[in-house]
Amino acid sequence: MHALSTHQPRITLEVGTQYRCSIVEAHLKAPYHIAAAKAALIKANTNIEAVTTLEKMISKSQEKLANRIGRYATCVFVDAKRLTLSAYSWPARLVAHEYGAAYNINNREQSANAIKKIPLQYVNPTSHAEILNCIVAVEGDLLSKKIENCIALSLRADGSVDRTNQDKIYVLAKIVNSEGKQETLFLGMGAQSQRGAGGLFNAIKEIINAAGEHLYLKVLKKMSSIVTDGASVNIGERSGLWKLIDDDAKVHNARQNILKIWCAAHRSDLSLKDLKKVINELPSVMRSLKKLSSFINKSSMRLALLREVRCSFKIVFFHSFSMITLTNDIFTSTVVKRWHA
Amino acid sequence: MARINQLKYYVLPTVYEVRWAEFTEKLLKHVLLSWRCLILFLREAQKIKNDEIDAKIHLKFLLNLRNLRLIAFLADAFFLFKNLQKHLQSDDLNIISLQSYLDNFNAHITDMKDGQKYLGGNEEKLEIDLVHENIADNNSSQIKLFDIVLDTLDSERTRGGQANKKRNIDVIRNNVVEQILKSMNKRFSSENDLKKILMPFVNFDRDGTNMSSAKHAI
Repeated sequence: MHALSTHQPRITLEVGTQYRCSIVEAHLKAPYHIAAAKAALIKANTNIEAVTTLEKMISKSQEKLANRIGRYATCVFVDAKRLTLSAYSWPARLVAHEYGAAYNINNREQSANAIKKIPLQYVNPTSHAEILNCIVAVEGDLLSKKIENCIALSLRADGSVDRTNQDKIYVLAKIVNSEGKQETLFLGMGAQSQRGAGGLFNAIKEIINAAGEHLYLKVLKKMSSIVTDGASVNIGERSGLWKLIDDDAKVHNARQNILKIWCAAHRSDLSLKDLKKVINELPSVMRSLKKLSSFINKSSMRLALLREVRCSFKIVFFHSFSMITLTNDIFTSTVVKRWHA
Repeated sequence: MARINQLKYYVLPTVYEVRWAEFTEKLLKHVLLSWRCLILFLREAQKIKNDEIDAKIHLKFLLNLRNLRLIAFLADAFFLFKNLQKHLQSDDLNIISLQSYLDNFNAHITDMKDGQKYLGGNEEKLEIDLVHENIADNNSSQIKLFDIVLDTLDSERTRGGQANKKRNIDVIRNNVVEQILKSMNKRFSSENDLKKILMPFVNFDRDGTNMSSAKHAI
């Protein structure tokens, strides 16, 4: 631009000039104005047209790829601007998604028109929870049929406290379906209103019945085993959950004796606890590491100092084995040792 | 400082209850992965007035060779435990397939007895990276890890001022392995009778069935 003109035209300066039609027309046709307008357009990043033949070829041949990149870029840009992925940022994300979905590199108006049609009846956390209930209700019949037709069923129940301090019972069923294949079904979750094994038993019954009409009886008749943790409320001989389910099965003439299984994952956890009791060094090391973690994580100033110290260099201290070392080790530890054995 | 030091830091998890081995393993692993970064950070923190004492204690702990070896061993053992627990929580687990996972775990843990290190594990890598150096002046030696001199002292002072010798790391390793095997055997033996009854019928065909055990089970 500067090569074409030795001095800056008065019309572009702050002092300006007299805006006669002839001056404006001449300015609009001037090469420096055309170049400046193009640069401003690129800078503003709006409505960039594919002008050269090569650009047109690329936008035509790679249209799908370009549209996909445009879609992702739109969504990521909005996420970055919102600085959160929380549920309440959904309106903006919904608009971005609709805009991105309709994005067409060769027809920019298409995506602009798409967002005009959005009703903005977006899903917020409350309506999301309501819709989840609808899904369960719709799936209820299917669930009932699956359980009616299955060959055997194993019931699993365990309690868990969530982040909002709500203690809930989660009930799952593992079935062997009519084709002989294993399938895991989520029957539902709910709170326990009464204490003890009786309360737990009633809660499980209510949870299962909420998933389908009279589903508990169907489950009981197909039940071949029950899996729980080893809490006395479950395995208690006189009035534990296992005993209550056994009694109920007899009342309803269920077809078989129910196998009672203590959850393997819980048992492995208990063996870890045994380890902590016997090996004195283990709790002591873990205590020191917890203190270290708390020391760093509980102070924003220390975290800031740590951030200063850490780097972007991508070499990991441990686990940086080369494949050659690893294969050599496998060779020496297995082949050579066995050879000499 | 970041550019000069070129170190990596993995966030130390705030959830580390021994509820599931995964959290414990994560804490142990991240301390090892961030070791150089943590040492540098603690040395800096030592200069800050209020953090001085805590930083000194943590630094002493992390610079001790015995502690490092113990952390590396525990990280390997908990890695195996984590994998086992993931299998135990998977959808395809049943009372029959459980035994193969347990056998596999027991075999790996048994391999770690008598000073044997888990192949490709943290402990093995630590031993590779340790550098033994002789000091010419006083005819002694020192052990370095990434040019940082480690403390090889394996005793601690009691409140009375007496030196209390800590247990040898190999003794602890064998103890941990023995205890895991014993505890797992105890915890998982309750279903042996049930498995004896079920097993003959699992592959109930002409080739796969041991008819005498099936007859015995009936």
